[in-house]
Amino acid sequence: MLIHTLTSNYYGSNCYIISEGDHAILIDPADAGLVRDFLSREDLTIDLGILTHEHCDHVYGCSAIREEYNCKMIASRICDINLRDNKKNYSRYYNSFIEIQTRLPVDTQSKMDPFTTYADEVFENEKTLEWCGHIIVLRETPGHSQGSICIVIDNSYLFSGDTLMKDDSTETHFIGGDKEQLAQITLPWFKTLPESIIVYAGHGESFRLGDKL
Amino acid sequence: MSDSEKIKLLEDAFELDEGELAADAALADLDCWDSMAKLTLIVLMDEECGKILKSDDIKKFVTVQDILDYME
Repeated sequence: MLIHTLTSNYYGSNCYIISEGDHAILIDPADAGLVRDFLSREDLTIDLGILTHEHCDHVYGCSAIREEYNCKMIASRICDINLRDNKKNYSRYYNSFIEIQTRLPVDTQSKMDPFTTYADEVFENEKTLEWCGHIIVLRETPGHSQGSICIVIDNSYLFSGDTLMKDDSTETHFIGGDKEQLAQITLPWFKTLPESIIVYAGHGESFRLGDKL
Repeated sequence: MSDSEKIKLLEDAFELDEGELAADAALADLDCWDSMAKLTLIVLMDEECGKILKSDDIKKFVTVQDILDYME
């Protein structure tokens, strides 16, 4: 199994493509162009897309990739609800936010139009999948956003979205963020995982779980 | 909406205790006045006042009162 990290220059977020032979799973298709470029070089069939949470900088390319690669997207039920609202997915505010952070006007390529999208399949609490001999667990991990989930593959790899990142603390001030749920539900669950698990976050570098907790 | 109601909204949005935010306070002096607070303000203006706040608008805010005046 290979894990390919595609980092968007426009949105700063990580999309992951996990491949096994000529099959692949895609996580957080923010930058459709980046995904297209990668897939044009690789002979892969996307079996499934998984969305870690509803924030626009992680899902902007969802609809395009779903349509172009006939790829079903899975997310938590709450994530799906929030994807359908351009306030809750933050696309309504994205350009203003970037201008505030960078103190520069948003350039044309990074500009994001307000959008809505959706998940084709939803789950609540936890869902286990088998894919190409691998066990994939999807689990709701509230805190950063209402719809946040984490994805664990073979108890060895954790895809955490913005819930857990190497160098930054978890932001809980967005709409639907909840520091109590993070502390009482999500962080205790992280502590049940092996410390040796490698975490692939929505932004930044991968890291060993035990080095963060 | 009265100024006191607006202040309450801002205190809740910025996670400040009641009474912690003064209308004449300079924003630059507030520890909470970071990019996240500005984004929170954009969302609040949209939800509560139906106004779309742009970054250029925010740059013009010097005091809390400037925000309150914008919330008309």
